[in-house]
Order: sequence, then structure tokens, then C-alpha cells
Amino acid sequence: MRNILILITLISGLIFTSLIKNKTRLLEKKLLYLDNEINSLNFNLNEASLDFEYLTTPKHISLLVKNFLDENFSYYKESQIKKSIKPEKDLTILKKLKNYNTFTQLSKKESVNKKSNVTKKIDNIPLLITKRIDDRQPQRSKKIVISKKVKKWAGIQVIKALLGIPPISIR
Amino acid sequence: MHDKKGKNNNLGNHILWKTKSFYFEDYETPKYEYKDQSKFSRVKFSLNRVSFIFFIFLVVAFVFGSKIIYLASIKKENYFTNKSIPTNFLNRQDILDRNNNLLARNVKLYSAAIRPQLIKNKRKLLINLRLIFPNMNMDRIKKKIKVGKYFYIKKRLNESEWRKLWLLGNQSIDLNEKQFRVYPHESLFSHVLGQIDDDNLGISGLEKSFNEKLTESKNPLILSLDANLQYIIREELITGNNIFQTLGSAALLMEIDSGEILSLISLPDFDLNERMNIEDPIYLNKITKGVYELGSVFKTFTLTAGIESGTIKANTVFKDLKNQIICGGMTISEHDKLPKDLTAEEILVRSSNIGAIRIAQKIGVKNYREFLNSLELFEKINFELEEVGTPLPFKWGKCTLETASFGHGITTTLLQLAKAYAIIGNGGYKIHPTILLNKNITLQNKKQIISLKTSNIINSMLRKVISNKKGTASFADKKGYEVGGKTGTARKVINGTYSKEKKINTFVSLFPISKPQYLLLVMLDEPKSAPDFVYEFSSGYKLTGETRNTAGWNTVIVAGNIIEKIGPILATNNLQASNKF
Repeated sequence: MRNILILITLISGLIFTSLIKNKTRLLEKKLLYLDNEINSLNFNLNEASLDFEYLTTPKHISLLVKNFLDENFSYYKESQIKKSIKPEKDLTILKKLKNYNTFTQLSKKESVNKKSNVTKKIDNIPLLITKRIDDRQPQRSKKIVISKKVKKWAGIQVIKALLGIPPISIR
Repeated sequence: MHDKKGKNNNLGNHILWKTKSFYFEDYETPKYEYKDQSKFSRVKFSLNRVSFIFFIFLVVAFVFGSKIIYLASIKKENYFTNKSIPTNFLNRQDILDRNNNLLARNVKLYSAAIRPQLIKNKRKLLINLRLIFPNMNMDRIKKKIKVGKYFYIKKRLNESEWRKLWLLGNQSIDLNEKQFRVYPHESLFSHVLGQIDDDNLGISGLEKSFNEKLTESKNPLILSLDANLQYIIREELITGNNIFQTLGSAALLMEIDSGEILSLISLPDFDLNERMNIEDPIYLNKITKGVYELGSVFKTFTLTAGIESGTIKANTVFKDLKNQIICGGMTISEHDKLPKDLTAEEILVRSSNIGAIRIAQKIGVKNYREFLNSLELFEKINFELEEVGTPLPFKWGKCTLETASFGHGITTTLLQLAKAYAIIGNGGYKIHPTILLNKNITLQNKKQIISLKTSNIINSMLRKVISNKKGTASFADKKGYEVGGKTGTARKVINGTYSKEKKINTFVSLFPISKPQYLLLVMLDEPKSAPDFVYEFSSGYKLTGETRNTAGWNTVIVAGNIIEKIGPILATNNLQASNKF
């Protein structure tokens, strides 16, 4: 019994070791392959990034702009920017800015009032909507009535036609 | 008988015992005991052997197991998240600018050649080559093999092609691997980066001074330079060179608080990708290596020394200024007709030579010398590049004081001039120009050598040099940038005498002058007057046919154009400035 046990442990140990060794060998092969692949990709990436760096140098970009773009990328002088904005426009912009600033710097009471006004307006919005819907309602019912009348008239005309009674012309 | 027998028996027993002891000396125990023990020891012996073998197996299993766990737990670097590609296999590290733009990189190039003498199986080789390079012209290779001389199959192989050829294990295929340094910006940084030799060792510029760091470090070298600014400034300098027909030119852009150089250009330059032996002195780095007499730009130092020492004030009037002074047999005169009475401020604004001499005389040789020495204008500057010039030695005397007050008779480098102006502009704090990016430089740890008050006074004077109608640099008055500065026109010394035509025209500017951030220095080497050029004044008045050849009529134009173009970039890059809007 003991000898069998020893034999089993020995054999299982051998099998276990060979299995691990095989697995490791495969893994190592895979790693080597992956390493090679990474190196190759790295090389390609290196070359691509170098190409990118070369093509995006200011010199080449300006050459490309000259050759392929119709846009005029000329810079603006500060004086030119000033001229392009008319003084009247300037004033309105400034006023707007001022109003905005004053709104943000309102006193607490004023801001509370403003807020309550806004909430009232918001509350009123559903009422207004329902009112508008109500206003539209009769028009819809009229349409329904009309369509019912038409249906009724059409039905009568069909029955008349079946019975041989001449149909009445539409008014 | 019994006794006899007994004796005999005893004897016999004794003999038997003796015989036994002869063979089984160590086993004196009774027979049954011996039997038991021998059985036990055999089992024990075999068990020890098994456990020993088992132990070895366990150890082996443990080793392999731990290796598998180790391999599984390794975290490989992410090659795609890093801007800088790991280049462990390369001899030299990358050089990047402040925005991580690539300035220099080593590239591995593979090439494959064939040694026809070593071909064993020509047919097999050709089949293999056809498999690796399907598009290759095999007839050409056949012909070349027939000729029998060493020839290249392909000069720029990629990694996989190289590997496939290597795996062939063919002796006749000669695989070469060489590293080349590539500079994507070609000549843009030629004077800064320098060159390397065939063994990938730096022989000039940063490549030389940082050779060890570039070869040993795992990180790229990041410079304070900005490729975009460098390009714009270079383009403007080239335009200026064409207009004013110069021999060369140079420009330096620096942050005055940190001393970080954003742009350093010296023209003419050369393409770094085409290795060449440059011996012509025209190619020297005019910013760091060139030592010049720089003229009136020194008047700023004279005024600063006077105000700092308390000898003069901005409104101190100097009366009866002569038209000319004779010093050491040389006549010193004004460049233009100037009033006889001028204040100290007007002396700087209108660039009066005689006025500067009077201020220097008031300061005295000792004080003036000490002040200039504190700005480190006459000693070799400590800088990252090896190409650094040493100012020419001179003896201080009465005449030297007079000529030095307006920048003649004394020499320095443009880099030192820029450093001195930066110190005056930044509130008097001593800075060291650097070409390396260092985000932790602040003025707090710097030594103050000029008071803030003096710095402010001089800055306002420098502004007036440009904004005042009578100032010498009104062409640089670009709206929105608050430029302040000083011009300098110096005659070149040719064969020991001052040339009348050949000049060094310099303009040093600081902007925005209310709180200076940047310094721009422009120098034109031997510019010529440009009568065909249309000078456009801020009032809209246009002038042609101008024959004057001073810094105000050429260098200032170039500097003004540069400021107008780089200004928006600096403003957007500068968080402090952009936050104001």
C-alpha cells in the first residue's frame, strides 16, 4: 500500500511538474511573441509620431495653409479690433453688462421680490395653457359635429342610392 | 562431563558468539530484535528518500508556480498614454520644447545587405527574399549576386522585415542597425541644440552640454523654448534681414521673472539634419557667443546707477551739454542735434551721448564700475550652452568711464545684456537665464540688487523712449502691449578702427511695461539703410527714401513686428494676463 502511495505521489509529481513546465513554456512563447509584437508596434508608433511631429511643425503647417487653404489667417492688431466695434455698439454692450451686474448685485429684498415674480409667472403658465386649450376645445367639437353630419348625410345618400331614390345635391 | 560439556558448550557458545561478533559486530541485540530493527530502518530509509525527492519536486513546482504568479502580476507599461515614447533601446533621449513638441529624437534604422561570396544556396535565398519582400525586383538581385559585390537589398527596413531576415539565419545576409538623430524643425533650433557625431555623442550646443543626461536619463530633456514663438520670430528676422540687407541677426525672448528663455535665434542658421562642418564665424551663436560693443543700450545702466546711488533723479537737469567731447584722442559727439539742457530722463529718451557721460562723471568710476559688476556684465556668464563668449577685458579709467556710459569701449554678450535688462525690469531681482523648463522659479528667493523704486522709474523712462514723439524707438509702440525699451547703435571695430558703415544695431524691449513680463532683444548685424522701405508711423504718415541706419530705423521695426505677432500668443499662454479679461 505504501509503495503504491509513493508511486502515485511520484508519478503525480512528475505529471504536475511537466504540466507546469509545459504551461510555462507556452506562456513564455506567448510572452516572447507579444514582446515582439509590442516592439514592432512601438517602432511603428515611434515612426508615426515622428511623422506627425514633422508634419505639424509651424513651418509645414504654414506651408500647408498657403497651398491648400483659402482662408486668410492674418492676425488682428489691437487697433483693428477697436475699429471693428462701433462706439454705439460698445455702449449697448456696456449697458447690458451693467444691467447684468446690477441684477447680480441686487439687494436681498429685491432679489426675493424678483424671485417671487418669477415663481408667480411659472405658476401662471399652466393656467394659461389650460385656458388656451379650453379656447381651442369648441373648435374641435365643431369639427366633430361637422364630421358627424357628413357621415350621417353620406349614410342617407347610400341608403337612398340602394333604394333607388335620387340623391340630393350637396349645397 | 556436564561441566565439560558445559565448558565446551560455553566455549562453543563463546566461539559462536565470537564468530557472530566477527560478522555482526554492531548488532549485538537478540535475533528477534535485530529482525525488527532491520525492517524498521529499511522503511525509514526508503521514506527519507521519497520525502527528499518529493521535496525536490515541491521546490521545482514552487519555483515554476511563483514564476507564473510573477508573470501574471507584472504590470506592463501603457505605451499609448505617455506622450514620450519609451526609448530604452535608443542611445539618446528626446529633446522637447515647453509644449512637449519634439525637437530631437533618435531613430533606429535597419538595413539589409548581401555578401554574395557567402551564399550557399542561391535558390533558397531568393525564395526567402521573395516571401519577405513580395514586391521586390528579384531580377535586379539576381544580377547583383552575379556581379559578386556587396550590395544593399533594402536600406530602411521596418521591425518585422528585419526580424524575418534575422530569423533566416543566413550568413550571406548582413543586417545593419544604426541610430540617427532626427530634428523635425530642421534649422529652427540649430544654435541651441547643436550637433552630434557619428557615435551619437554631442559635439556642440545642448547635445554636448547635456550629453550625459541625454544618454543616461530615462526621461526626455524639456526646454523652456517655444517652437511656435521661435518660428514666428525667425520668420520676422528673415524678413528684416531681407529688407535691411544684414549680414546676420539675432533675437532673444525671455521671461524676466524666471529667466526662462522662450526663444533664442541666431541667423544665419543651418539644417541640423544635414551634418556639416561649420567653421565660418558668421554661424556663431550671436546671442551667447558673440561679444560686441552694444552702444546706447548701456545708457539705461548709467541712468539706473545714477538713480540707485541717489546721485541723480529723473528730473535732474544737465545744463550746457556740449556738442562734442574729446577723449583719448577720439571725438565723442551726439548722433543728432539735441538741446543744450536736458533732464536725466530726456538724456535716456533722446539717447544723448554727452548727457550720459555727464551722468557717469557724476556717479564716479568706482560706483559705476561696482554697479556694472553687480549686473555681471563683464564676466563669463554661467549658462547651459557651452558656446558662451567672454567679454573682453579692459582697464577702468576716466576715458573708459566716459565711453562706457554710452556703451563704447566695453564689450559683453547679448545674453548678459538681456539678463541685466531683465534685472532692472523685474524690480531689481537677480535672475539667471536658463534654457531648461523650471516651473518652480519665483522671485521670492532671489537676491535684490536694485530697489523696486529705481526699477519703476527706469521702466517708465523706457516706456517714454517708445511712446514719446522724440524717443528713438517710436516704431515699436504697438497698441495694447505697452512696450518699453532702448535702442543701441554701435559701430563695428574693423582692424582696430571703428567702421563708419558697419554697425551692430540693437533694441532691448520689455512689455507690458506697467508690470513687465517679457523681454525681447533684437540685434541686426551690419544692416543697411533701406530707402525703398515704406516706414509707417502710428499717425498714419508714410515715409520712403529714408537713409538713416540706426537701430530706431531698422531693429525697432523688426522688434515691433515680432511683438505684434507674438503678443497674442503670449497673452493667451499667460494665465495671469488672460484672467484679467
